[in-house]
Order: sequence, then structure tokens, then C-alpha cells
Amino acid sequence: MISSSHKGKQNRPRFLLFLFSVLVALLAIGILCSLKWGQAPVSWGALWDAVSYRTHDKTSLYIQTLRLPRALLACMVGVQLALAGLLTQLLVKNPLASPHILGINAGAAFAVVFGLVAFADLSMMSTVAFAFFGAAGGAALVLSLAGTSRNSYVRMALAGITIHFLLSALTEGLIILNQETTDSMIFWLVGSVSQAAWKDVQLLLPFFAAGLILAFFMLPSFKLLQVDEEISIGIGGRLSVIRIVGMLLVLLLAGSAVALCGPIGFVCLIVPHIARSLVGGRLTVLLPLTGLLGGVLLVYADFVSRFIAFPYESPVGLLTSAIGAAFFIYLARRNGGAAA
Amino acid sequence: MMNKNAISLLAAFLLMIILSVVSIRVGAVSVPFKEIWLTLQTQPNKSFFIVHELRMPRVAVAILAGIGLSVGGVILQSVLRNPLASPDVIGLTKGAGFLAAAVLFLFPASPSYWLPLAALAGAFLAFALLLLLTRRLTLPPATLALVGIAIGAAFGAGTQYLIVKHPRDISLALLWLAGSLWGRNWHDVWTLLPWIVILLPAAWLSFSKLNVLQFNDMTGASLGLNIFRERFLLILLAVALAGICVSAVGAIGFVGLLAPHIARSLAGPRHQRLIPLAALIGADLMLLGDFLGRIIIAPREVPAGIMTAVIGAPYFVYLLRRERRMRSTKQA
Repeated sequence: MISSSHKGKQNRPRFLLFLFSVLVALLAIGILCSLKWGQAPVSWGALWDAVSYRTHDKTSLYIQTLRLPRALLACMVGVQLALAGLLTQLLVKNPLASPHILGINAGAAFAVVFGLVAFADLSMMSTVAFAFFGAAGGAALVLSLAGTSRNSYVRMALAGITIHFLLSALTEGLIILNQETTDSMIFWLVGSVSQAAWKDVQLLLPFFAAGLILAFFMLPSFKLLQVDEEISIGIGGRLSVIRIVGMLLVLLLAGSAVALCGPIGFVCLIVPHIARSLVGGRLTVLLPLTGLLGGVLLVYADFVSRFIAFPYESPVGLLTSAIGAAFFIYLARRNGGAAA
Repeated sequence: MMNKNAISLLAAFLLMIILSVVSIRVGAVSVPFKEIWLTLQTQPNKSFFIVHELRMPRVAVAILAGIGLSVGGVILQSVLRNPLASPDVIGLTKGAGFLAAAVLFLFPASPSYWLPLAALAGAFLAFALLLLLTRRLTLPPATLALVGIAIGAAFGAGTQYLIVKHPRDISLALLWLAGSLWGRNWHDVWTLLPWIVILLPAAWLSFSKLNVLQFNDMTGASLGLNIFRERFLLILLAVALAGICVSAVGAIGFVGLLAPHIARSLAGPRHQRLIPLAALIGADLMLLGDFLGRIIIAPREVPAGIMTAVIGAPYFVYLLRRERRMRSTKQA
């Protein structure tokens, strides 16, 4: 992964400072764009008034209750999915792994649709609970099929996609048989942040915070996952504990994101790879960078997806899937030779 | 060995006959055996319409599509040397689904024969992309499978875009995308039959090449096989078989994955035995899926594709786990 010629340059503090400040600036610009442009045009003055909560007319209400939570939610979900992707790749030592391939997204989606069909008035919190169990079930199924040995990553991709097909067939079945209750689900199933409101942000915030804090505290332990198994056992790392905590963290991050915004595909696959190519494998730098990049990517993807079929909304999941599929092909062609 | 093989072939064939008869007999309206018999002799009776116009073509399409999908699956699994390869995984069904959805949504007034044509074109489009992105299939088989997955994902996103964009008439599209035998008539049978009649023997006759190609490239080359050309031709054959079937019954999954597995566990890896058995088992699976889908919440229908997934997946999980266990004991 790390090209050795750039190694020195990549770890220079000035380069890192530059990289992070550029990304933060990009994120700020992205959020600003996402507040300013959309179905209804808003002038800079009105935008400023709305964000500083000075006026209370229709435009500022529109920005405060629709666009602001949407931009924030996109950012949070992006961070969560990207981190979940990075952790999955560390845990199963597989460059193609991601919550999407592991069946976590499809499992959560199926469980949520099932919950909505079975219990018509599902609260937001129990939706999240359903998503967790579905995500855990999907991951367990794929891992039990594929095994976790390092050389089996083609097998894992195929097992994951097979489970993905199974779960989406079941989800489709539920939707076909219960069209009255599931009409609104179609949009959610592609993955979208367009319905975001403050209550969604509020609901996601504890998971977001807990996930970040846990990831931060586990950072030294996760480093053990990067080296050989024998070495890390020799150092005294309890690998099984680390793996379980890591998997729970992935479920926490990805499950809660999917429960709110649907299975937004491939963010979790692309972002860790981009981050790694920028700064290499040093986890102390890689982890925050991955999170930040994920937020940036999803904010921009959400922004662009508004204009795919303007003035109608298109779910952001479409855009990420399209980019992600291309990226997946690139990875497969690069890694496939070694795999065969 | 020969005996065991003959028995499993016979059993699969008998199962097919039994399932066909049961499918014709049972349904929202059950038809007595006597009237089925009369209909088969083309004598008029009060169930003639149900048996002759509704259930018989449906059974025929199920058998033909099951054959095509499973033989396509056998070829792909052997050529790509991967037990998890199948027409769905390679992205063919998603490609077919995308163009079919495009026709359903963008040209709702188009004549009905456009839909299967579009689906077929979609399967071949996915194959063309696969060719393009894998340097004409010269990359290692594992890479082919992965690129296929990604192509499938891209087409899936396209289909979802169409569905989201036209939320009003999605029920037909969803039905088609799940794969269903609902409302199939003799016309569908007559479009499907000639293809299967031509392509199935073609697949069987290439058994020797398939036997060699399932090992590594070196073996094939040293036996004088033009690996890349044969691989291309065989995958093309699989694409044609699967594409035709998907165009007739929609994106039915798991048949193309599962039937070859079951057949391989019964008949072993030699394709001269594997292909006929897989074909019959594929037909059995389709009939079973369609039949269960029709009776499980009658008079409503669960699309056959969903039933095949529901029956197929647990068995598939069992198969893979068993295979893994066997491999790990062998290593230990």
C-alpha cells in the first residue's frame, strides 16, 4: 500500500498540517455550498442571517430546519461510514472489505424494512435497534461463509455479494407484499440524507460521539491489528478482545448510519483507500484523516446528487455507488493479480 | 459410479415430473387429475383454460429457465474456477434488470416484446463491459469475478435511480426485478425453447474443454487449448443461456448458483455428467420456487425469485460451511 519513496514526505508534520487544513476548509466550503444551493435559491445575506439565527422569516426557517441538519447529517454519516470501512479493512485484513461487502448494510436494511412491516408504528430508536441486529446478522453470516483467513478475499467478496443478493431479495419481497406501508421505503433503501431533520441529528449524535471516542481510545490497540498475528500476541495484545470490540464499533458506526440514512454504498470502501494513499498506514494519522475525508466526500456527494435530476432529489447513495463501483474495479484489477 | 449417476439423474427427472404435475394440479383453483389428463389429450373440459393457457406454459417456462440458468452457472463456476460464481454475481442479471427497467419506465408504451429483448441486450452489455474492463478476459479468473461484482453494483445503482425517479409504476418493475413466472404464456415458451434446444447441446459438447479449464491455465495450455479463446467462447455461451432465461423470467437469483453446487456434490466434477444433472436440478428448483410462491399465501403470489432465494440461501450456507470444514480438516 505505502509507496516507499513518498514515505518520508508523507509523515512530515508540515505536509500533514497542510492536508488537514485543506480538508477542513473543503468541508466548510462543502457545507456552505450545500446550505446555499438547492431547490430554492438563497442569497448570501439571507444565508448569513439564517445561520446566525438573527431572522425568523421563511427562508431562514427553511435553511435552519432543512438544509442545516441535512448537511450536518451527511457529514456525520460520512465520517461514521468511512471509519467503519477502515476498521473493517483492518479487522479482516482485506483491502476489498467494507461494511457493504460484509453484508452489514443489506442486513440492516432488511431488518429495518422488516421492522416497519411487522410493527407499523416503529419509533426511531427501535429502528436503530433493528438496524443493529440486522447488521450483526448480516456480518455474522458473511464471516461464517467466508472465513477470516487473509488469503480469502475474493471468497469474501463473493460470499458478501451472495448474502447481499439474498437479503435484498427478501427485502424486495417484503416491499412487494406490503406496498401500502413500504412506499416511502424505496427512497430510503438507496441511501439518502434528503429527509434529514434535527431529530435525526440528535438521534445520531450519541452514536457518533461514542463511536469517535471509542475509536480514539482503541487506537493503540488497533495498531496491533496491522502487524503480524504472532508479533502482536508476543507483545501481549489480546487479539480476540480487540477484534470483538472493533467489530462492535463497526456495527455501532455503520448500523446507526444505515438506520437513519439507508444503506449508502461504497463510501466505506473508497475513503480508507484514498486516505491510505495520502498518508500511508500510520494509524494515528490515518484514522482521523479517514473520518474527515468521509465527511467531506458525503457532503459533496449529497450536494452534487441534488442536481442529478434537478429539481427532483436523487438519493446520494446512487452517486456513491456509481463512484464506488468504478473504484472497486480499479482495486480488483490491481489486487486481483496477487489474489489468483 | 455409473449407477449412482444414473440414479441421481433419474431421481431429478422424476422430481421434475412430479413437481410439474403438482404445479398444474394445485393453485388458487385446484384441478382434478382427471381434467389434467383430459387437457393433455386436448379434449375440452371445464378446466381446459386454466390448465392449458395458464399453468402448462408456466411450468414449461419454469423448466426451460431453470435449465438455462443452472447450465450457465455450471459453465461460469468452472471457467472462473470459483464455486461462488453465478450469472447474478457476474453482473449479468443486474445488467438485464437495468435495461428492462429502463424500457418499463422510460418507454411504458412500448410493445411487450421489447422487455425480453432489452433484458437480453442488458446481459450482453454487462458482458461487453466485463470484456472491456478485464482486457478481454485475460486477467486472472478471480479478478473477473470481482469486476463482475462491481459491474453488477453499477447497474444496480442505475436501476435504483430509475425506480426512485418514477415512483408511481414501480410494482411491475419490482416484480420483474425479483423474478416471477406470473402470467407467462405459450408465446414465452416458444421464444425460449429454440435457444435452449440449440445452446444446451452446445454446452454439453464442450464438456471436455470445461473439464480442463476448471484446473489452472497451465494445464489447459499444455493440453493444447487456446485458453483465452475457449474461455471467451464458453463465457459467451453462459451469458447467452442466462441472458435468454433472465429475459423470459426476470432476475431470478440463486438457481444459477445453487443447482450446479447440488449437482456437483452428486455427480462429481466431470462435466459430461454434471451438465445434464445440473440442468434437471435447476428445473426442479424453479418449479419448486414457483409452486411454493403460488401456494404460500394464496391467492396472492410471492415472486418465484424470492422463493428460490429463501429456499436456496440456507442450503447454500450449509454447503459452504461443510466445504470449509472439509478443507480445514484436510489441512490439519
